[in-house]
Amino acid sequence: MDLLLIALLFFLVAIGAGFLGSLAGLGGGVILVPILVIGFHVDFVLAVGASAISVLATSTAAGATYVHDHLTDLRIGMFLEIATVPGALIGATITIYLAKLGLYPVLFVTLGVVLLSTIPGSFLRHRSEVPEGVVPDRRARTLGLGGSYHDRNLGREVPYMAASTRPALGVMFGAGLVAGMFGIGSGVLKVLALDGALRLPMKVSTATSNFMIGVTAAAGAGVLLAAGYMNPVIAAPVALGTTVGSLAGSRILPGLRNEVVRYVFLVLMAVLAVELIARGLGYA
Amino acid sequence: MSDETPPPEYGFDRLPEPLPGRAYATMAIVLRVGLLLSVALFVIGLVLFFVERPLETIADLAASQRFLRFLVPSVLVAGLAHGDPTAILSLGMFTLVATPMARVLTGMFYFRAHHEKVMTSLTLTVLILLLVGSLLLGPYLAHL
Repeated sequence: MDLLLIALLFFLVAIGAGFLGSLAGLGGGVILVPILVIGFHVDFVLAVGASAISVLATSTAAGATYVHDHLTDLRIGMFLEIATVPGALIGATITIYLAKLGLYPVLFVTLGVVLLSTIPGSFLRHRSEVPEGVVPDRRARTLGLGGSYHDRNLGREVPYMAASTRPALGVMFGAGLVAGMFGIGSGVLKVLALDGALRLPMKVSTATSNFMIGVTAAAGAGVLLAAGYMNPVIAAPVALGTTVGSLAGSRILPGLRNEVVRYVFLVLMAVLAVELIARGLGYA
Repeated sequence: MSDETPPPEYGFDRLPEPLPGRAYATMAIVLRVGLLLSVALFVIGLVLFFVERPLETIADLAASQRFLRFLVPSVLVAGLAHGDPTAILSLGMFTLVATPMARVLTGMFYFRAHHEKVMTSLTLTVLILLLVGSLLLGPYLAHL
């Protein structure tokens, strides 16, 4: 098949993944690797590289808006990057090692399991917009991990502080590891740390998670790029498509964000995950 | 800590001093410029690539290692000087990967200006780790 046609298909598929992922609140990157590997027979590590570049592009686009609107907590974001970045470096290294050893089935099964475990995690976020009774730990007080933002819906300034920083760092390391291994944003794990452990208001949590996803993706992408596992003819149309799709999903059609879209996306993710596991175990 | 006092139901008494507004504005500009630059390079590179090689197949691409050579800066510069689309695409990827690094550098600058020694050190550590990954770890893994 001509490369031009394949590049166009990559672009269109990435638009769909970015659009659906954005509406589902999970990001399109999470299904890009299985689509590229299963649908287009792209090498697993090259697909991870393309996905990492697309996650980088979409998080940079959204991150710039959140930072501009002062919704991102710069201190908390940069504090947690101390855990996500080493995780991503180790994750990318593991993937390259496993690929060099020819252990692709391990990568297939692991990604399948990660995708399946993301599904129940995506239902975790059902709590109040602004948590109350937050008791910041000593580290949060020392580093000044907190602030305030203006909530347009509530019509007031909302103060907040980070609660338990130690478990948040642990979860963030895991999020970085998974992000580095598979070129995904690991948004569910990040939400677990920011909402669950740090108990940040939802808007700050979303914005700060996006802020960190960019640096985490850059850590993994930098390793893959320097190790020769990036092909721009694959990565560029995928990154452009995902960015267009996610921007369309988040800005043009916000009214479509509902549970039906979310369930469609989760079913698609589950099918891809099962297919990956079946391939890894030699059943497909 | 700032003098702002949150209501008692929040569970804490005072808020940290916020970073200056220009820290947020500068970071937003860094991210936007980096993204726009890389998107422009991707679009130009892809258009030129397919104008020059309309009949290239996926097998040709898989068989060649043409992008690896642009990891050497002098080769990249020479490729860009000749308008090589693969060099332009590679520069787009380098720009995109470097954008968050530039954002971290910007953050470090503002933490230092704000006399936050611990946050400055943490940010510097993140920057060093990012550079180690791209400049040392990646090339090491390439030669395994």
